[in-house]
Amino acid sequence: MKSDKPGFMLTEALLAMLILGLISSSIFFMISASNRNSMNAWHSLLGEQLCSETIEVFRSIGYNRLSDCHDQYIADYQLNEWQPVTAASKLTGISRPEACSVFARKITMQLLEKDGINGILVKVSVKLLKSSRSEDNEVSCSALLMEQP
Amino acid sequence: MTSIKKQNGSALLMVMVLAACLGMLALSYFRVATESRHSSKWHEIKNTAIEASRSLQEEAYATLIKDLKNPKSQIFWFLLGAVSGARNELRLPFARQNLVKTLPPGYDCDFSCELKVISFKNTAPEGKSYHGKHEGHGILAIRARVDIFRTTDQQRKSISHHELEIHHDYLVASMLSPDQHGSTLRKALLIRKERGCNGQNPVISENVQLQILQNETHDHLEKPENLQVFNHFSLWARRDLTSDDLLRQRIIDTTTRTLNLNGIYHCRGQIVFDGQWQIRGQGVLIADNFVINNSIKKSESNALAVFFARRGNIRINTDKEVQAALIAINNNGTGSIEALQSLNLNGMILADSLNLQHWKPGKHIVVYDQTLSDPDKAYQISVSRWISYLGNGENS
Repeated sequence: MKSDKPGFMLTEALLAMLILGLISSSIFFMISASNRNSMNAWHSLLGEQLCSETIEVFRSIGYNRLSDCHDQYIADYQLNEWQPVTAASKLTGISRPEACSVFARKITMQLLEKDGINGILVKVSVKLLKSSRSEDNEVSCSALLMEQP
Repeated sequence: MTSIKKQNGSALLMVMVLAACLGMLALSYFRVATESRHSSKWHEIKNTAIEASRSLQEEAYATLIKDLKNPKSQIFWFLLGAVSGARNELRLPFARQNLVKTLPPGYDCDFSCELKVISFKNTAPEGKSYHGKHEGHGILAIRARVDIFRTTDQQRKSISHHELEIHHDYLVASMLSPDQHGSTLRKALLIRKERGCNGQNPVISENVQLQILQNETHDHLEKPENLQVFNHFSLWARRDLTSDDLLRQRIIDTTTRTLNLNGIYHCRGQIVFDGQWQIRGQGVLIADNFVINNSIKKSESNALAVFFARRGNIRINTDKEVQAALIAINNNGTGSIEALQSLNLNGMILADSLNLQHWKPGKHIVVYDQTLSDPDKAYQISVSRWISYLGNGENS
């Protein structure tokens, strides 16, 4: 009689549950990793935009004014120190996404010369203010700004 | 019994199938995640390549403008005789030394930059031909190319490639306004009006002795009534400048008291030269009228300055040497030169009339400057700072 009823053996059911458990946990891991990757990509994009914005502003200011500047600030861009990024700047009129306020930015400048041609190496680094793995989230961009006749 | 055997293991089979499907899904996700990381890095390297090509363009333009001020430079000679389609490699020592500093660690780059003449015309927009054999206007392209590699890649396969092409208009003009016979400024004294305002010969006066010194046997009193100079406006490098523009663009540098002339510059209003000035380069200043209150001397033998008053007079209120060509002509025939002190001019005079009754009585000297005789040695090339075309190309 028993053999007429379809059913699962206990071992079979336990093994199936084990496999399902492993699969479920890996799916949760995938979802978690996907979210983390999406956030990282979003932060990378914002970080690159913040770097590009600085380079563009400095390029428009030009070599002559940058090389004459001996202050710690150019417009509201602080040099040589990590500076929190604000969503909007009254001084420059630049507005940024609210999410930018989770970043800090550091700008360094180095005067260079070769064969009578002058330029400035501008390096911009952007990182998350609160991050356990800051080395992974730091975005950098550099450019040479040349003296124009 | 057969039916029981079929039922046994079916749950495990279903789970295995499900596991296989999810395994494939996980594998796909892994590949997508890996690709995503690669594309993020690719994006960063691509931005680096774009910034590098912009830096190359900036250095190329700065080098171009600097070298064009030197008539002995390779770029000057390339553009002086260039026809449409001509190319020239541009060396960029600053980028050669410093461009690698803009790259992330573990990366290196190759780059190149070239000039290409897109087009060049030796006729003015209104159809008239320019008389100087090299005179004309054209479009110049600056092409910069950057390839970025991994330093670990022995084959140096490019992982990001970017090209940037920018076009500028440019002019080639002689500063001596040549006609079919050569320089129009080839004589020490040229007066357009046959008679002065009192009906007398315009260069003879009882009180004024005008001594003209010219090595060659030219007639001093030629009457070129229809003589026109610098009437090809398309060869003027800058137009409608204000006196502030002249200072801001350092054409007139008050710090070093230097006139930096490298083309034909038109300015509205009057230009006054107080104090001692020196001339650097070759060029023409066009204004309504001029007042010269002290010496103006060349910084080197081949320097050349032409002052052209298009609406009024040129008044010289100094007995110090002035080394320049002075032109005061206009359509109404009222342009004149006035020497309020003993004139000591090393250059030439072209005027509608001299109005000697306004000159200081006594001796005045005009010595012809031989640099005004050869229009082929007075070419200047001006490249516009405005960009007429910008093209980006990329490949990775």
